[in-house]
Amino acid sequence: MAVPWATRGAAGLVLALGLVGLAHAPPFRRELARAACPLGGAAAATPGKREAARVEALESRRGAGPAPRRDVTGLELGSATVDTAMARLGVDEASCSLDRPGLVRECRVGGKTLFLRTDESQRVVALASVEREPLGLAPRRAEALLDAWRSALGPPHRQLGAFDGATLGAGVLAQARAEWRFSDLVVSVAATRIDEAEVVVTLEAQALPPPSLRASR
Amino acid sequence: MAAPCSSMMYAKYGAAAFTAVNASIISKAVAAPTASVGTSFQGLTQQQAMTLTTNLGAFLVVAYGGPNTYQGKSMLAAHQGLNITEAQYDYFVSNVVVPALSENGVPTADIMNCFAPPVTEKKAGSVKCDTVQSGPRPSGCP
Repeated sequence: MAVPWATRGAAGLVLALGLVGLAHAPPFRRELARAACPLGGAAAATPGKREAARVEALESRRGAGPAPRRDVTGLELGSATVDTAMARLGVDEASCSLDRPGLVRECRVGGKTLFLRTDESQRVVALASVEREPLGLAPRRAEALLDAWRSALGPPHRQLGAFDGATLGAGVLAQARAEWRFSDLVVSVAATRIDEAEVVVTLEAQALPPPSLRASR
Repeated sequence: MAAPCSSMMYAKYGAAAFTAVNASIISKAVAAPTASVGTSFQGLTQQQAMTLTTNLGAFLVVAYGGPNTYQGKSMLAAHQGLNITEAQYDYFVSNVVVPALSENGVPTADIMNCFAPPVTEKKAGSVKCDTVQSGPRPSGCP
């Protein structure tokens, strides 16, 4: 007896769904990871897609006009090569570890941690630094950082809280933050009380490509 | 131990506020220039992003006193193999979590008194101690 096509199709669909469901059972998820299944582990996104995601997520912080300077970190973000950046910032490759996608170097430089983010062509597009300071010294350190960026980029476009002992002494996760938002560069300096005794001072600078370049990625 | 007010945050702000903060956290994490926080989030497929959003949202809800619908892994298991250092964690808290809360209208007093403890405590089984699995151990973590 001939089986109607609709019945055969439905049976095939049920079988396929069953196999997919079985494959997602915990014992088989490692195999799925190799096949880049969303539940099995991180799929292998290309460096270009990751860079496009970074830029897209920064769009809400893109400002109206270009930054007066783009080399304020000691290198031209968006065009400096990794080698140039490491040399200019005095970073020894031996102090760095590379993340799994091969896009971020995490380096120990003096008392701070430096993150160098590259794009698909290994140009440095962003950097961040994280350093811990004792609560008593942190306001001075953060204020010095803020002053350096203020003199380079002008007054911040946004500032939350004062970089002083009163703000940071208020409690854990008390924070002072300043942000500069240009069309080609986004910068933030923050001081955050991270526990009873210490403050984390962070600097983040991210290059933004012109919108026309972003569209062509 | 988390401050008593930590467990009252969900009741105070509600589901919509937690959803908004969760979305802000994800968005800021995708933009991050650091390892793990940034590139891991940037490499997600749409399905993975949905799973992460659901799990993170459910985790935040239960951590701050809401109903427990979290079905993800333990913090220890969820971060295994990600090589998260204390610097990455500190960056995440200061440049992702705190701005996400303040930009969504959470007053500084609530951030310090009620939202801080679950993400800054350092003791066996705390979020920070279980998440930081690479580099020097944070002081206070076993």
